[in-house]
Amino acid sequence: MENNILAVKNIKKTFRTSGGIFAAGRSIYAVNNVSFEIGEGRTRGLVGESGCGKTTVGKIILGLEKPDSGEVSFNGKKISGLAEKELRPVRKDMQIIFQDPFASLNPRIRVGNAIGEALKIAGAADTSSRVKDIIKEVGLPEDTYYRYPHEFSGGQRQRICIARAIVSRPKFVVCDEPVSSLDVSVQSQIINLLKDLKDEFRLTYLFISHDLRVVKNICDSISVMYYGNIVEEGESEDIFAEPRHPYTRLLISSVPSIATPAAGARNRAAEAGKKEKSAPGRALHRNSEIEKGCAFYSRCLLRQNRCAGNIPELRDTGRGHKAACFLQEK
Amino acid sequence: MREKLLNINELAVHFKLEEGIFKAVDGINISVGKKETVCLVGESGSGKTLTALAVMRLIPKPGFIAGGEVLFLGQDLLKVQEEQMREIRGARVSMVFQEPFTCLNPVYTVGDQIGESVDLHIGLKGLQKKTRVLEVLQLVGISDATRVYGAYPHELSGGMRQRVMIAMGIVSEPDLLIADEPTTALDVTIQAQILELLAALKEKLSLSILLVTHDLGIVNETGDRVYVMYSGRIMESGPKKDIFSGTKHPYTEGLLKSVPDLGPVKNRLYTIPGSIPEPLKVPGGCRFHPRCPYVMDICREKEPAETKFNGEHSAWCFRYGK
Repeated sequence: MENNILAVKNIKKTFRTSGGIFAAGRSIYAVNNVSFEIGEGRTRGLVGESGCGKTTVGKIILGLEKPDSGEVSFNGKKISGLAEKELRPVRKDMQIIFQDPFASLNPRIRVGNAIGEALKIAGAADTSSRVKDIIKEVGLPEDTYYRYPHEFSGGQRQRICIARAIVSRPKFVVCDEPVSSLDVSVQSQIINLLKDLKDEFRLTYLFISHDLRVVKNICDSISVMYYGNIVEEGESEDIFAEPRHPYTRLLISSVPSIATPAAGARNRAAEAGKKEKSAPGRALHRNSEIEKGCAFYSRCLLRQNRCAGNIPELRDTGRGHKAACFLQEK
Repeated sequence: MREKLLNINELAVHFKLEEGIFKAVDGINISVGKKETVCLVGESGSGKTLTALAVMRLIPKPGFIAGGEVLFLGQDLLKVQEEQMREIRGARVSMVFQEPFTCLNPVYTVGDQIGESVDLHIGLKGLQKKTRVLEVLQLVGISDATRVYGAYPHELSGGMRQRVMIAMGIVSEPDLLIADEPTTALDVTIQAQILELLAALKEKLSLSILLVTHDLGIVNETGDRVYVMYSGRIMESGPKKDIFSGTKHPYTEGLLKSVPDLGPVKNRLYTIPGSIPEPLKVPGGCRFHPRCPYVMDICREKEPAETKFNGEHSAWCFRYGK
């Protein structure tokens, strides 16, 4: 087995809602008992619909958000709970690429300086040559260094953001929906770039996305999240070939695909998920105080009595393919 | 051939900018038959939304319709008086927009907003109006119609809001529904529901749909016929089957090859080199030529004319003709 560069163990995070002027606020689970590891040089996908807590997990890993409980280890060292000062040397090795390349670049800072900032903070003296190298590496024209963000298209801006993330030679990068705001023909360029850079700089990715089509094409393994819980995880091919959790089947069968009807995985999943597709809309956020039963209960058409009162645990169904569903138990 | 409900002929939408005239839609022909779902697919900036807005005569300034005609049941919508247009817009032709968050008025209840359309276009008042609104809410699959009737937009989820938008679009029983990226802001599972709803409504109400989208997966799952648009021009058009399995135009081919899909995983995705042309820097000749893998000399000099294949399948490319 390869080394795990990152391990997340039982992290929980609740947010309190303001209940209005008179009502008490409720606390809501954004992340509920999430654990996973990422092996060095691997890409793990974190998939789920909006509001499922996937971005919060990314933020907790980077120390941008404090978990209520649980721990994050990086390279075998516990980093959650470290003070900002102690975290700084670790930060150099962990970076993030955000979804919206229009919002994540300062319009008044020249691209070269924006990319070089990470190096300066890390204490490098001469940044310009390294920045220029990285600009070439991500496929941008050489004069990019002196230009401003508004002069670039969406795809080019995302290249700038990628350059900024990898210039400090991190070991681990969180990609938070890095291609979802891009056009189709640009999407594939960026996906290929991320793959190339991963090989070249021996990077490890946590790839957060709602788009299963993209995830399938870039991730080695996948965790599927639903309302703060991981409901299924495993090798990418296993999950697409044989999704175990009703929610995963629903997700896969919902993806509009260009594959002709004969094509494999999707249709098998669609077959299995046919009933689930007409499942009711969406569950409400779960109130952590009345936490009981499977999170997917209200939408699941295969639910049974025991699903209402007991929380299914993630169980290995073979080859590290885990699902949290009572139907997987014999 | 089916009888056409909508015929867009040589439509041109231009923008007057300081630096010159930007031809956002540059002479395109599109038709929509009765009970047909036609998909207009393209990347951002291809002019697909402007085409939809032109049908409604809602082009934002400084844009203007520079030429062509929009024949709706034989009548040119570009020539009718604004007053008459107001009777057609929302009643005979209605539109559903991408952002269900920004398109609903936050200070009126759902019932009020749909009711306004009932009042204006059907002329029902009072209790009859309310009955009609509740009816249409149920039709779009909202089970607790009474609650939603009295709800404000912020109390509803994204999928619900989009259902409300669709309800508003179909309450006057239009002949044509224009849906501009109706599911882009929604989660996949909700997207699947909305697409199913549109397909069901098409059957129930004999509706024709012009669906504007960038997602080829959605095209494959919902469309009858497809128009592929690039930089203000149609590159290829035809029945869905022909577009997906008998692809002719290099741009369509590139798009189909480059989208990540659930099929077998490729080590590298195919990419179309370069990016879509900037507004005032549209290349001469065929506008796709700088990115085309099959580019020939003639592509740089002249714009290709339409080449017809079997049935309604056409492509605008020199590989097949003049």
